[in-house]
Amino acid sequence: MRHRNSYVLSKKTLDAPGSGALGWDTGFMVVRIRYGGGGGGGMAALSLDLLGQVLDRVREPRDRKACRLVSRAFARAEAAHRRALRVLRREPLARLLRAFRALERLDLSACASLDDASLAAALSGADLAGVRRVCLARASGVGWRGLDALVAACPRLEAVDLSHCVGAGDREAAALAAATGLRELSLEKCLGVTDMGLAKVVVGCPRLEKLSLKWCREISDIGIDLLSKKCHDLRSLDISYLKVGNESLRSISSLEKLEELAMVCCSCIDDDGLELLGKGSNSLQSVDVSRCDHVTSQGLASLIDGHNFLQKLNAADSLHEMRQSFLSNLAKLKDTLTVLRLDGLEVASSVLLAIGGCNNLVEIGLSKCNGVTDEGISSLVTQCSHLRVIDLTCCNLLTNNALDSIAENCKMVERLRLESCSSISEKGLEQIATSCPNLKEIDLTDCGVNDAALRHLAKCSELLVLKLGLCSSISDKGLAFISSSCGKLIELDLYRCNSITDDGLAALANGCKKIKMLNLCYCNKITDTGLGHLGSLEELTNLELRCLVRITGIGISSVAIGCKNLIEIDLKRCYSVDDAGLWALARYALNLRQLTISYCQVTGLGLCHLLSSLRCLQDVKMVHLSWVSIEGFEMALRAACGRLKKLKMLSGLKSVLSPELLQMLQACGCRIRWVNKPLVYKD
Amino acid sequence: MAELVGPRVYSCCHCRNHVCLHDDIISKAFQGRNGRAFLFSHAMNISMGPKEDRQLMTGLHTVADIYCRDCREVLGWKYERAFEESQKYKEGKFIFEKAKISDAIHLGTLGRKLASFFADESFRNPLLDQAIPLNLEVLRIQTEV
Repeated sequence: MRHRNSYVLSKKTLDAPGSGALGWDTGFMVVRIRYGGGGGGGMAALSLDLLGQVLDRVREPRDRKACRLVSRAFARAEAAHRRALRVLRREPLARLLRAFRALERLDLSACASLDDASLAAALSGADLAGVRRVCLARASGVGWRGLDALVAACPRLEAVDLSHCVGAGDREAAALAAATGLRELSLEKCLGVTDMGLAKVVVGCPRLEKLSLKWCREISDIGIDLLSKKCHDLRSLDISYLKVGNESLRSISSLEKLEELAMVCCSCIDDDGLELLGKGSNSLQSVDVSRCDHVTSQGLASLIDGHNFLQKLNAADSLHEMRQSFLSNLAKLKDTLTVLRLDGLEVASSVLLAIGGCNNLVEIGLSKCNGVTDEGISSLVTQCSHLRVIDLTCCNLLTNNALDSIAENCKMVERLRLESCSSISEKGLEQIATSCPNLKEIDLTDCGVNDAALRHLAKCSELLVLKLGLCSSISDKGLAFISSSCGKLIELDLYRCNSITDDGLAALANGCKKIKMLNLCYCNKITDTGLGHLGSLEELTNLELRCLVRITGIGISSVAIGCKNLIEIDLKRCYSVDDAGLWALARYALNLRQLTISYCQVTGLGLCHLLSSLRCLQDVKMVHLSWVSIEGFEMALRAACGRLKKLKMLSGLKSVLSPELLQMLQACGCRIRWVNKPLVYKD
Repeated sequence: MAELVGPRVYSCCHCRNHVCLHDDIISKAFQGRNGRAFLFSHAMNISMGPKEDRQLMTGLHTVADIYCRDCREVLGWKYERAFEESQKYKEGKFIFEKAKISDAIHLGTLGRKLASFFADESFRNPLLDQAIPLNLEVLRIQTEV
């Protein structure tokens, strides 16, 4: 990027939306910035503000980082204009908040060992008048004191995400209630929040538009009633997994602006409740009643009666049978319905024909539906040519004919899930690949696809996600086809594709440079050479290498050194990986957050070194580390105590580790899962 | 803070009856009649069909089909006997086909499903006696911070 005094903005970075506003069209743009003669840097050509606006259009985070390194002026301009910040470590938090003055979005969810004191201290020195959205998901160390400081420091706070802070309760809710401008709030899995806390929030933040109470099982009908009375602007509400009943739906029906309602697994809600909901104002656009045991198609029919502008309906895993009343009412939604999920339902072809009447369907979910046949699919897709997402997981009666119908009618299809559709073959996939150029995601797990199929799929150059788990006939040849033209691939799943060898990985590393998630579990022919090739995949974040018995520390080192963005690595049952391999991780994989080393040959020393060096590590699974002594566990866990959030260990250790250590871990917000697994070596 | 929900369970895809637990999975790499299947160490709320000898991909076995107790849907089979030494580890274990079971979360409610789980002695998993208490209060593991 740095060439004498000029700076080249390539076409790639300028293609961001909004670049037209500054009068540039897409094409090469070379900006020459000549600094004034006579030494000393000075911004002769572009003012800081203008430069900042230029840099605003640079979207890719890595390109922005590169821009910051050009010169001090660039760094200053970038800092002055930066709107979003994601902090990974606690130590620089205070300095960062002071450096970036135009922040609007602050993400502290990955900030290791963040607690009240450090948060409050970091906030006190900073000017955060512009901050509107803060994410504290899984920040289990933050409590009401930190939230008090946050609300006080950010007067314009509009959206807070406190999800999965399982220790959060009514006091934390009360702290948030002081943010009167709050519009969006997620208390998902804040297990301690009760009706009292909800009441405080509801009274303090009357302008709430989006609220999630998913899993807050202390909340009852009373809380929902108060919510409905106070927050008239509510547009989106999530009461999934709560124990609330039909009375809540009566209260909710009074919300006139409610567009989105999620009630996943609300077992106390039944058809009567849906009927009450149907009598409310006709504003609902999206309803999710998946996993609701007592909801039947009759209830849904009465719901549709009252809300005939419904766009999204999710009834997955809840219905037992489909009645005619529902199907006739479905016809009322023929213009508006775009998303319909009926997973787990027994469907006859007549049902699919009736569903096809909703011509504007964009997404259909028929996963694990008994009775889905080629004829049924054909009658559906001939009427719904706008379909983009089709989920046919476990519809094992389907053959290539179904794929032909889809290819012929749904040219815009983007996501196709065909897991366990074992009767399809490369002929059907050839049709799909030829006719559907927009295909971005395809799931062929357990479908028995072969290399010929991959040759056809290579035509889909827009492919982002490819799942080929359990397809043991796929070999390096197939991977070569994919890597030759699917350069945009982000996620590749080769679970148990045991014909893949190092050469396949070489092809992959050459052609699919943007891969972020790679699953190579049980591909046991892979050796350190293969991992060496993976080292050139700079974008790799998640890597699963379960039971790769031939890889050793050498391979792990190449991955650790080359893949600087590695966040998660799974080495369960990699029996040849020992301390040397983990040493490489400890030295180079500094961004690692999730690690599985169960059954590896690590000793106490290696474990200790690992847990103390990786400062971002939050989630460790270490079952059956037979070479680690009790002292080794004690030292290692004490070293990482403040940072760890999730641990999985053998239950035998529970009685053997010191109670102080276990208490300390719990106090720092770490949850331990004790498992009882026999020591068995698999291959 | 408390864990207010119990273990991850799988339920019959048709009638949503709880049939097996995620922690009981031994292997995910089995093939059922129509697709992928998992090997479990324990099962609940099921009834068994007659024993018969079947030639499977891994050799001759004596198996008995397992049905959901309520809706009689065939969910898989139980290995009664394996004739090859290397396959003996499967004896007494259950195969559930992935297409026949769906993911669910056990919400700790005292219902018919839970009661029948304890009623059936032969399928009880002694380790789980601690994990599924009958009282919601007991479900909360208090941690004083």
